[in-house]
Amino acid sequence: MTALLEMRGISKTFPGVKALRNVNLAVQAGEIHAICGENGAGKSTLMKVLSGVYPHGSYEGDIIYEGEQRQFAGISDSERLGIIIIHQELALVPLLSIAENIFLGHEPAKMGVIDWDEAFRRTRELLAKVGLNEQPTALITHLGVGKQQLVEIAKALAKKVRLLILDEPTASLNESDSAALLELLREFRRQGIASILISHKLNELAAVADFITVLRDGTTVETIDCHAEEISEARIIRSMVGREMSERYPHRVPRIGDTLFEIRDWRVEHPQHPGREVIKGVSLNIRAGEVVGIAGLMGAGRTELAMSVFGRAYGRHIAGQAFIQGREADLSSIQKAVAGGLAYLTEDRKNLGLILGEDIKSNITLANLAGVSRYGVIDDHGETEVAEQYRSKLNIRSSGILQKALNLSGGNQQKVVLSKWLFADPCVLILDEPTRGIDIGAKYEIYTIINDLAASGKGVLVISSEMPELLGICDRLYVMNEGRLIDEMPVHEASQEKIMAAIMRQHGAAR
Amino acid sequence: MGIKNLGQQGIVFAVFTALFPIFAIALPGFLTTANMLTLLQNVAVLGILGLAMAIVVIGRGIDISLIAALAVPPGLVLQMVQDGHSLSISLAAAFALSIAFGLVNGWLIAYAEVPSLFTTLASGLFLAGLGQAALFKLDVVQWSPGLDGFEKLGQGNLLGIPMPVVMFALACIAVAFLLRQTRLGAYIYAIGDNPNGARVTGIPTRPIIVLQYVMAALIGCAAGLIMASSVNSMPTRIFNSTLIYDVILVVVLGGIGLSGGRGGVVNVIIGTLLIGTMLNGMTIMDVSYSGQNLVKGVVLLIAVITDSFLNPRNEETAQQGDI
Ligand SMILES: Nc1ncnc2c1ncn2[C@@H]1O[C@H](COP(=O)(O)OP(=O)(O)OP(=O)(O)O)[C@@H](O)[C@H]1O
Ligand SMILES: [Mg+2]
Repeated sequence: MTALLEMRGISKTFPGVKALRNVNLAVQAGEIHAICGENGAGKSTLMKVLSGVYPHGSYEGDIIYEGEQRQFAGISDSERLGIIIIHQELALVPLLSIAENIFLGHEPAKMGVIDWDEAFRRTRELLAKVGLNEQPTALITHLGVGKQQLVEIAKALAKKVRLLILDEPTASLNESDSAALLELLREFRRQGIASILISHKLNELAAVADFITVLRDGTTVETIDCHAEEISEARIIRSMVGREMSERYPHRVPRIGDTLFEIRDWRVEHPQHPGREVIKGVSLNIRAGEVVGIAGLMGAGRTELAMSVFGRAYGRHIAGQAFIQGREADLSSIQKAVAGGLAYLTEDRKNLGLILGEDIKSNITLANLAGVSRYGVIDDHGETEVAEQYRSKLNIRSSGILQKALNLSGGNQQKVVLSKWLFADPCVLILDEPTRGIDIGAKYEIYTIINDLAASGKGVLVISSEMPELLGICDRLYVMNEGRLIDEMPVHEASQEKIMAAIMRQHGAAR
Repeated sequence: MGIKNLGQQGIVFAVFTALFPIFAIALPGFLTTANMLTLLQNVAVLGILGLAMAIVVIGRGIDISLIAALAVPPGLVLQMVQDGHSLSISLAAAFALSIAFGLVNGWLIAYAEVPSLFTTLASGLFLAGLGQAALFKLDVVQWSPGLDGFEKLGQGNLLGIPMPVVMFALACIAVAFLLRQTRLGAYIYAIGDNPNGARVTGIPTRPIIVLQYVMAALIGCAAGLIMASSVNSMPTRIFNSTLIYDVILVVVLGGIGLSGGRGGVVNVIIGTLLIGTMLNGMTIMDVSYSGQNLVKGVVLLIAVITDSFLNPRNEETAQQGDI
């Protein structure tokens, strides 16, 4: 059998970085081929070479697709041949309907007039194929991330896809949405559509993949045949990082002190729909040296809660009291929140976390420029020193502190945002999905940093969609659902089942 | 890839270094001392305005009202002195007017969230109208004896270098320091690159935006004073000229992306040199006013297109596949 796709000896160099070195990849028709590797290993770069984002001539090596040598000059060339890439950052237009989004740019038309009946009919077919139960006229903004992801896939199907590339598709999905998406890939496999799946969630890869290609430092380590051997996460990790990783979470000895931060009866209204309460009377506290987690499903209101607390970065008509170290705190603006000792690590690092056009150095010092300047004048040496210090402490992989944030791999961008808030030296850190899109090794490093922060007497609030992570690093958990905290438990009493049960119970009560 | 690596400022500088000798050889009277001095003087005022525009554009705005800010407060100085007030009081009044004007612009843009293009389009018209209707008696405000000595700002020289050029150099140093060495400068770049990101990092984005327009108005006023003192009058009709296009040309051509967060003083200098040379050459060649406008228009279009080609902000961001 000849391969659908073969990439041979691909090398790609950026100024100062060799991102890919002689990488080989072969994908057969109708298989699910996973790619994994640490942050900055070159996974996204390889897919950009394949899809023509980096055009022929800007890399070395050959791409053979459907038996022919291909030289893509841009994305449209590869799309025409059925290679469709779905980026992690969804590219849908929020205020248009599902149908409009799916057919954007190639609307079915009769003599120049859009044939909406036809568009709706075909949208319905496509939505049925991806198992999404929504009307074609529903607006994208009203859909959750999981459903938006399915719309993206429906859009790909509308273009007659033969090879679907998904770059970290499940990073922001909850478990049931992820499961649905993986099931869909299996269905595609039955229909002969091949998929390339990039993910840091190794359990998913182990569950669906036929082959797993592992990249490390821009080279292919191996391609594992999942049908020939028993696949375990440990097996993949060993190949990824080149050594055993026995522990997933660093050992933690909590030393918990007094209450550091507290909010009482916190209420927030939706910024666009006055009167609609998004946060409905939340009270919580964090003690010094404590790591507190908030579990919940996508859309439970965790990010909204965190951002409204952080200087009203979200919402309007915010009511409730906040206390820092026992004293009532004024959190009416972000500057005041930062001055009061709060930091919020956003889940949306591209749009809110980073200044993409600036270098690593400027990004790291941005929240605390006062710390490297005198009378408003920045001390260059001091700034460089600080940036270097965090680059080595958090192991940020880059060509130097002058590399632009835009050109960093996803995981390393996250470390830059984290460095920024660490340098601001807050007493309470709110970390929203701190390990999203981050490899196993780097996750461990971030957990260690969280431990160190707690050990130094700070309070940490972690929001995460990965329950094992919360169970592995927190001391105490809150469960949030539909704008309310519905349960609270010390971690030694908590389990995934217990958390889900609490959520289900409330769903039941609401009916 | 080659062109991209060179960058816009490289291209523009190459064009400048090509154009200058061509003009020098082909145009009689171009490379004379007298012409070089005129060129530098004209360029100096344009360059100072370019600096003001740069501060605003780097912060992702635009200030169309700069020419009004250049004409009206300095015109007020000349008028007040003519009316018998002392120079220092007149200057204080002009600065106060500039600051107030910048505050209004800034407030409308930062707090009322009116797009900068529309705000400054309207506010510039208002300020110019105010000047013509209420402040000035004639379209050209004349020099008066009370200003004696002040014309050195435009006509004097320091070690043989004309004062306007010295002023431009000083302004370049000051703005470069502001943008590259101070917290304020770092914040302006951050806001220009990612306003929301800057806001949730705790940067006081709104006050800083206001400050940008205040600085622009003040720098505009300084440029106007230099201009008035070099020609011994303030032709307030300058508001109706195409000068604002020249200023935008300087900034865009120099390589300060209109999408914000990019470029610096070097780009203003390069843009100013090229535009100044071009305009001067066209004048010597006796190109008609409309012909000049045609050329400027074409160059501006090319510059704007190159800008969005070299700095494809949205696509570039979208191409970064993962989060
Ligand atoms: N445009 C660019 N300019 C310079 N270097 C780049 C550019 N794009 C990527 N790199 C570098 O290439 C390397 C590979 O990056 P890539 O984004 O492919 O990693 P990745 O495997 O997708 O990582 P992650 O899991 O974090 O998303 C990184 O070291 C990155 O810094
Ligand atoms: Mg990636």
